[in-house]
Amino acid sequence: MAIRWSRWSPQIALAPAVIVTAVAFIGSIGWTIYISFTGSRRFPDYAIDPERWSRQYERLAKDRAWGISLDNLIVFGIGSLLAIVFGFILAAMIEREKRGEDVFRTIFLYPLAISLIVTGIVWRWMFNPSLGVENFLHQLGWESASFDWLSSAETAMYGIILASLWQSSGFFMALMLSGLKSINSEIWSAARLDGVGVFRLYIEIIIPMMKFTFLTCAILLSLGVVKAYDIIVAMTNGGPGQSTWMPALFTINAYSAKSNIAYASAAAVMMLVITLAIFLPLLLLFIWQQKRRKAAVA
Amino acid sequence: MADSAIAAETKPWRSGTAEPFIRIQNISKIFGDFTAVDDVSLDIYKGELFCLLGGSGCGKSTLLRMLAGFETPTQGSITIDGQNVAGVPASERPTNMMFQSYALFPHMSVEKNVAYGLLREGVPKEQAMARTAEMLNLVKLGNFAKRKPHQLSGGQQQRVALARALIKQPKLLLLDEPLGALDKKLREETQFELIRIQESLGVTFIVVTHDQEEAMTLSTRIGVMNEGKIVQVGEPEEIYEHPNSRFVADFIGTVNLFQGRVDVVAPNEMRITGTEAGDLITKPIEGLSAKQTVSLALRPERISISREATSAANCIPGFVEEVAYLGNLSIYRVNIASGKTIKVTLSNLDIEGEPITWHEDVFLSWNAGSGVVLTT
Repeated sequence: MAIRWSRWSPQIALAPAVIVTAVAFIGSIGWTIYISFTGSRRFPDYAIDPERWSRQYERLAKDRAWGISLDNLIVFGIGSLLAIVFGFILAAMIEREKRGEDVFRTIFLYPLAISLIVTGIVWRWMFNPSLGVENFLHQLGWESASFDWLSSAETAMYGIILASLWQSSGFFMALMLSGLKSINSEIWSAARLDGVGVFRLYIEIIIPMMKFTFLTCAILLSLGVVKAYDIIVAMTNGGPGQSTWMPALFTINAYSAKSNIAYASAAAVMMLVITLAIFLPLLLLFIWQQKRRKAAVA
Repeated sequence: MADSAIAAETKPWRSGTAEPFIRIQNISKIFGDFTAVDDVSLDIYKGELFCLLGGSGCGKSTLLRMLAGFETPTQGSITIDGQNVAGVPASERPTNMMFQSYALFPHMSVEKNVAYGLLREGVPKEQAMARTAEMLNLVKLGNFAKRKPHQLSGGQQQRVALARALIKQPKLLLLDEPLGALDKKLREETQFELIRIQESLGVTFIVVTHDQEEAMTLSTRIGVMNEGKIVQVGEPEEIYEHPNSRFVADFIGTVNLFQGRVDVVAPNEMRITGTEAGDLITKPIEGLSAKQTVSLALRPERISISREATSAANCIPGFVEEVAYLGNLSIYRVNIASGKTIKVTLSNLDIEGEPITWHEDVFLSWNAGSGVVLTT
């Protein structure tokens, strides 16, 4: 009997976690997908009308706010890629610097300790023309300075991107730094002997060797982009007008303001589809790179 | 391809008039309060395969890096083929280096790795690829041009690293522990490959290693280093048979060391007293004073071992504690009266009759000229 128990005890130990995951995670995803095909409004209505099963999605496709949200997702995504670029540049600079590495790394990582809400609020103050940077520059004598991005529909998104870059670059810098350190020091010497210029060294040798790190950063970044919510709420709450709406904000709004569970569910399902569309190819690439790495080490 | 006769055969360092190819003069490197290289001077001749041999921390790698241009000497000068290389950056020196970890670019093919340096120099692509193909054939990797480094074995990667270092036709090639990562059999094969390539191209090699067997096999001359200084420079035979100090005697091969005082000195022999083996007779050396403390270095293969006492100049009784059978030879560890253990090696072909075995009482004998007297 004792032997039989020990054979199954790993599975038994994992069972609670598996059950919770199945119910809470997979179960709720399934529930959401189901509800998106119904006509539920404030409360769930489990009846599906076979002729009108896709009405929520049709409505989504016609909704201007959803269109804006998707556009902003793309803009935010591309803008956030700069976090990886800045992260890499900062990491490269720190890595070349023999002294002071710990100091700089700490300084650049600090923003990560601040929640996105607080980041959003502080940056909103910075963009405020009478309280923030613009006022400061006016006081210095630069009368025509303008740093009021959040008040205009065209530039508000860039303000949000800037705040987000400030917050996350340090994180990607830390990942890049560890990736840089994993490169054998003799590679640098070998490149030095070949007389390779600094720019070429990074582009042709170092960055290709760090493909794995870049991929990790891309996956983490994409997840953060799709989920973006707190920083939008803190900085503009979707405004001016609807110019800074993003999919997550749209979904919550559909549920809380419009009290339409089915509509919100449809939006949530579309977010899942977008996440998978970005995430799965990156994940497969990641796994492939990892296999190649293992083959190289073996 | 070599324009002059092979240095290993002509031995220019013996002539005293040959012009050295590389002059290292009073080179020191000090890091804060730590002296890595301490006033080193060396002359190395064209076409030599010179080994810097020493344990870890002796300064050999730092010296190599100064030759390559990765470190600036605190003091002293280095001249390569008449050109003082002070202030010349690594990529502009007539030197190249083969790294211990090979430092191949993992995302580039073997071909691209080897051609990279040439392309950076501005050599036209066609020409660069043609030279690459030639070089790969020289290191016997002609069929592996398109492979990536992770698809090669350790020995093959090393040959790619060698090809990459040699393709720019450096006057001096620096090798940092080239055979360290290879297993024993591969190491032996590669040693001879290295010599073959070096002799056919006529390039001067300086090899840094801690493996004295490697140094003895590869080199035309060895420079033994300890604590930042060059302790002895010479051909492998000279270093082995005539070490100039206890350190060198002990570092190269195995040795039995006896310490005593000079007693009687005659024209042909000398007696040393007070050693762990009693009084020993050896050949005299010059410049000794009475009662001076000296050491006798005796190689294990110079001692013969027998069941009966012999009439050799030195014959002491002992007790066999341990025998290690190595196929071609046997190593005996023999305890003598004072408690000291003496190592004796005997070729297994020389054994007649019953081989001597554990826990036997034996006699160790050697002649006056078998050992080397050392004053330091």
